[in-house]
Amino acid sequence: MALCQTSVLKVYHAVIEDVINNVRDAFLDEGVDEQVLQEMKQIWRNKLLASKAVELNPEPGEPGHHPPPIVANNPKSSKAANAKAKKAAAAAAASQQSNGGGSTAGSINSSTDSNKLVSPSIAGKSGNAVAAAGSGMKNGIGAIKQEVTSQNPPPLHPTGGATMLQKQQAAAGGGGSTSSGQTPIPIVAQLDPNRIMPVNITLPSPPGSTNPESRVLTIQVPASALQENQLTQILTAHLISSIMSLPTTLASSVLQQHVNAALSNANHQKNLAIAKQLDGALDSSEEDESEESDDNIDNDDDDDLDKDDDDDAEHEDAAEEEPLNSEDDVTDEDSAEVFDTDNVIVCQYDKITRSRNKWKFYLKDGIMNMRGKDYVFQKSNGDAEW
Amino acid sequence: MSYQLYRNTTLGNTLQESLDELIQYGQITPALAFKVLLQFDKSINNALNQRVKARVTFKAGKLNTYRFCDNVWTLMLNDVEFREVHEFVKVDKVKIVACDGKSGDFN
Repeated sequence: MALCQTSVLKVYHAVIEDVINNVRDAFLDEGVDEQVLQEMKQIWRNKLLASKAVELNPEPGEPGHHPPPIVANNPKSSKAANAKAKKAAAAAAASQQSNGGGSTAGSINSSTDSNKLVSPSIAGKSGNAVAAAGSGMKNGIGAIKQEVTSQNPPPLHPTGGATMLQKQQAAAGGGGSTSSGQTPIPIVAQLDPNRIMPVNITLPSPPGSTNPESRVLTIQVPASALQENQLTQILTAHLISSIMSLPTTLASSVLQQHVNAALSNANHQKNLAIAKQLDGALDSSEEDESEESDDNIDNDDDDDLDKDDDDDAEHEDAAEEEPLNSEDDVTDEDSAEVFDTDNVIVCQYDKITRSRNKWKFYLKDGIMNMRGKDYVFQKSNGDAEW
Repeated sequence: MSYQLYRNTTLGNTLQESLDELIQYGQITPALAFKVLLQFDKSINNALNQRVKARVTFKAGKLNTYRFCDNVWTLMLNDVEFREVHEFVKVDKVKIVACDGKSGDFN
């Protein structure tokens, strides 16, 4: 099956290129940026390779096959830099606590309530670097460091693959206590949620680049995203790997768009959830499920209605398991079971013939997925007995 | 208009997942995603027709089930051996979904 397996990758790449080139006009018509098109291609290719269906015979020199693992920040250089910044931050924290805690001090103070962008250079003077790890570090990609420029370290919620960063945080805490005798408080939690914070994301050099320097992308996010730790959910490994091959400025703007869109989605959902609450405090599903609480309510007409709905829903669930007259539908149930398999061929038939119980199949243009691997064929003839 | 049945393959599914993500991030509209899928149908039908040369034969121990509906064959074969020259793959069970190849040439 060598030929029909080696040609899979070529065919798939040809299809991807063909699709990308032919939808470019449609993207332009809708005013969607070329970046998004390139991103779509990258996500698609990454997903295809992640499926393992085509991992055989990767073409050498093909970019994007194995995105190089993102190197966790070089502990030597970053430690030194961070230590300096953290000392400054710890001092700032101490002075701020003595100032009465809640108010922010120094150069940032002027922009606390306005939604102005805090430029990294201004924030950086009194700021420090704190690492938060991106979540979902799959595909062998290591930890990505996000540097948040603020006065004090924001609360850290490290997830998988962030042990090194945790250590850094611990070191930061230690440094703070030696110089000021106080542990820095997480100031991000106290910031105005609407305030825009710059976040630096350090990427290693792009694949194939001769420049070993890592690159730093800066995106602007509201402080609320940091407080609720939304960034770690938005900055997934595949998002990062998909922007890695892009030039720095392009990558920054793609990332910024992503984050903006994801945050506005999240906010929208939050608002929806709040709106739902407005139709009555007793309408939450938890209370409906508890029969006792329903019984305890005097004026429970509404709740009775809700309860009926719930009951109906339960009946529907039960009906799904055992539909009415289900015994009449034996063939349907059987076929659902019979047609369930992992080995699938999707193709076209030239003809399919039968003589007595002997069948012959003349198939063409097929994609087979067998034992998790993909194969393609131009023609496939076969026979079977029924 | 090309057959849409190849959407239900590794390549088609990964494309649909990618489009879903871009829609979720607000990068593209569902209408644009739909156009991409239509283009995928064209591209995959063309590519299979013109770029693939492999020929495979198979022999099944048993045709377990067959169904012919709306010009689509669905076959369940048991104990199938696929052979390409000297190499072969054997599986207990395979499902074949096949559209009419004659009306498939309109792309």
